[in-house]
Amino acid sequence: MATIISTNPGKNYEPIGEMTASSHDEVRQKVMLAQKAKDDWRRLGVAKRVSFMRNVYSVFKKHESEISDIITKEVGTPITECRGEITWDWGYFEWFLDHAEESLALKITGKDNISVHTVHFEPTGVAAVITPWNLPFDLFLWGVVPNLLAGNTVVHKASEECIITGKLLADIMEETGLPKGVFSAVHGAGDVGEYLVNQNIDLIWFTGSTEVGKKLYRIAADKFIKAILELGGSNPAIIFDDADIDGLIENIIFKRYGYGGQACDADKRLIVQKSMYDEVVEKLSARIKKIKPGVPDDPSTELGPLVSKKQLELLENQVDDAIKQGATMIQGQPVTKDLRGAYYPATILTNIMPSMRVWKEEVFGPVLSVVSFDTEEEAIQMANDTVYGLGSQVFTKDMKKAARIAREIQAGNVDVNGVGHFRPYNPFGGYKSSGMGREHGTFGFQELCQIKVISQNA
Amino acid sequence: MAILISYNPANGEKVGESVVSTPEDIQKAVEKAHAALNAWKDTSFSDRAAIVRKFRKLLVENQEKLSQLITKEMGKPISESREEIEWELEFIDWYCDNVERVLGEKVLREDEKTIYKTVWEPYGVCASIAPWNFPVTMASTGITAQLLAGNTVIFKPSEYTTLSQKLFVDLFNQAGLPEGVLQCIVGDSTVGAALVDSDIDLLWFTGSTKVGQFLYKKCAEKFIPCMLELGGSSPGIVFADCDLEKTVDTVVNARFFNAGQVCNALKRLYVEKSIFDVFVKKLTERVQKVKLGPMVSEKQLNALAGQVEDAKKKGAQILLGGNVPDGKGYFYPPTILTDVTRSMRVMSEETFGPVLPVMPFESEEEAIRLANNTVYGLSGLVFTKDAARANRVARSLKAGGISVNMVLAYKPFAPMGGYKLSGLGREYGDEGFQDLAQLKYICEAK
Repeated sequence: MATIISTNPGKNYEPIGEMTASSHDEVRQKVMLAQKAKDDWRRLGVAKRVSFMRNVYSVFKKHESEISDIITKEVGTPITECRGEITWDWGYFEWFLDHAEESLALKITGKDNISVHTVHFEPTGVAAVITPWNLPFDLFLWGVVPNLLAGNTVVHKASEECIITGKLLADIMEETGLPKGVFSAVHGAGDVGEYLVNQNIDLIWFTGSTEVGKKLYRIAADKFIKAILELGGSNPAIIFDDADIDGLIENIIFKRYGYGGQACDADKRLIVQKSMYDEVVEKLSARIKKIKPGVPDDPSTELGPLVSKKQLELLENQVDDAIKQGATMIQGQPVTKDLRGAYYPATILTNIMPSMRVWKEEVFGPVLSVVSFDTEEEAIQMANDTVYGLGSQVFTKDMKKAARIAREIQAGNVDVNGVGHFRPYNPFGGYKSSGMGREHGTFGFQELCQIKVISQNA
Repeated sequence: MAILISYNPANGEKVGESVVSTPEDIQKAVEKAHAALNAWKDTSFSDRAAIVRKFRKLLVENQEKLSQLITKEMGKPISESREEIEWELEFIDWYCDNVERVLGEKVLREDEKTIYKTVWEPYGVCASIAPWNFPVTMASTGITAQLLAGNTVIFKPSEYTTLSQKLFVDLFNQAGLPEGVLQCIVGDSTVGAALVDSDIDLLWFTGSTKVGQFLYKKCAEKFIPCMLELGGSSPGIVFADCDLEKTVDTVVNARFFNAGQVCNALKRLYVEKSIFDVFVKKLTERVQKVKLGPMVSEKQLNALAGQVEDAKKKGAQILLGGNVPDGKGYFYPPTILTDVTRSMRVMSEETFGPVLPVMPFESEEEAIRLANNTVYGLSGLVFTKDAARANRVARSLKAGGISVNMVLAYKPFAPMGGYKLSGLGREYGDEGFQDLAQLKYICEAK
């Protein structure tokens, strides 16, 4: 049986624990349990499920510091950032609890003298929920909580890069007293996930890479089930010369260098109007020099390591490729000798060509590519020059222009002048290769359900 | 040049012919559809609706011509062809009246600093592949909502109703759609597959489950969304406390309308034991009076006859019909079967014709179990005067549309679609529009 050793990317990859991957028998059995549990869970109705989940919420709250400690160790998220993330996550959890009922309430679609028609949002069944390592608790909640509230039963697998965190979350779920089979966890790498989705499940919910997401969509098609996929992104941020430059610098720093740049929805390509280009690059360059790298468990650390050696090597290769093709590199504080592990300094690249990997691929680390443009048309063309379409930003004081750009950008989310879109009531998801379906908000709940229309005499 | 010939299923006579689209034709159509996309996307909802309303006028003006063609090409009685167009007008009105409400800009929240809003944007080029059973309704479902949502459409008619559905597209284009916004390609399933393999952004398909499963896999390869409305084997459950006369009428209508060639027709009937004999007797008497058109094709006729032969061999009793009559055309008589079991093809497969197997049940639980024992999940019917029971059963049936003491009402505001192998996504209603568009969320600092 495969054993997965988890390491600390911030402390020279020292082992922090190990897990035996779930066997095929175990995966099958958990899916069977989930199948058995699904009818009773569905029949409970939303209100009763909400009260079960309120208890889950309070149990998790008790474990808050335990969760942030393990994430910091296993994924390398700086502890201050990690605690911030978890605080923010409670807001989502609370919104899900407070709005499940209204989001899934039956609605009357039509009525006449002789008949009345209602829509019911019924659960889809057993959901295989597979979550990534970059925001392990956040994405666990986003995947698991709305599914359970909507009435699906869940078999969860966390990424092997955060397998110990995944085990802790599963253990906490055990304490919550949910009926047997309503939530189960399996552990392992991609092979376990693939085995899981090939079992008797009714829905795939996945957040992770586009490559894996496309594979899962094909499996969903073979099984004729639905898949909800939140995948990679290469978000453009367009800055026009009438934008408030001082206000936007902090925003770009947060949107690119937060979480070590390891966020699907991070700004990955900065597109700046020519007359302002030098000033923006200059201010950003000065600002990244102030970002403090450090070990994850130091509360003053602002930039921790990447999650793994593999991710570090990928990032190094992408940057090497850019340099070879003529890019210019500006870096922040260097990685000092005492920082051993998957560390990479905050970096800005200029003189970018469309043929460079940093332009074409998703860059999952603290590296920002900056290009310049002359006209609005050119900016839109550059922003859309990607297979991805997750998020995007526009900075301008001209609100008409902002509205035009927002409509022309091929992406599921557009932030105008730095307003962050991550709110639990806003649907989140991608155009093009960035995903299928939406999460959060009323839409997010409804995506997890099947629609049933009941027509009867009035 | 390959030619597709349309035949009249009532007498086998040739109705007309069409030229089959070549791979180059498809390629060109897709290029044109992409070229037309941006301008169409930027056209306002009301300007798009104005063109659709002009088309509606043309449809009314050409109602008789189109009805005659449909009846010739697929065999449905002329009154039903006329009715179908009549019926579709209500849908077109609803689409035009509601598209902006559903897909237009919506403010989710607003505070002193920020506006949060959503817009629904078109996916791009939509390939729409329609079936033959309701030539106008299906063409319109595959075209009208897509166009209003801002997609450009390449439409492929069924090879059994190419002439009727081509006429439908021609009328649409006469209403003044910009070039490339709606195009028609012609051919059988190989042409459809080639279309789906080309550079499209969305697939809309109504047809068989087998083809739908095949097309979903193609879409997965391309990583594009698809809307699939597929087969059904809808159960009807009749409890002893139902209104007997009314239920018999409703059952007859739900099974034999359009000669039983309807995806969400009633295909398996479960009747509570205590009234089984009297119900079946009344039903048989009533069905004897039913008059039907032919099946659409020899292929469909043979498939249906094969399913009934299989049931006979396995011990089913034929109370009515059950044999292919002599004479011209692809006719099949209204047929009622009892002593049926799950091992018979009429119970496990979709029957696309006027054949109704009837089976007794003892308890509510058993009825639900039998009703759900199918790979399909399009719709279901419940007949009882007990409202609490009706609600329980409606919620327990694994299907996308349930009707209580009535036939499933086909309404523009009610989303329709299937559970299980009956489909993916919904058409009609708000959800139907939303499935044709992608959601973009915009937040703005004030």
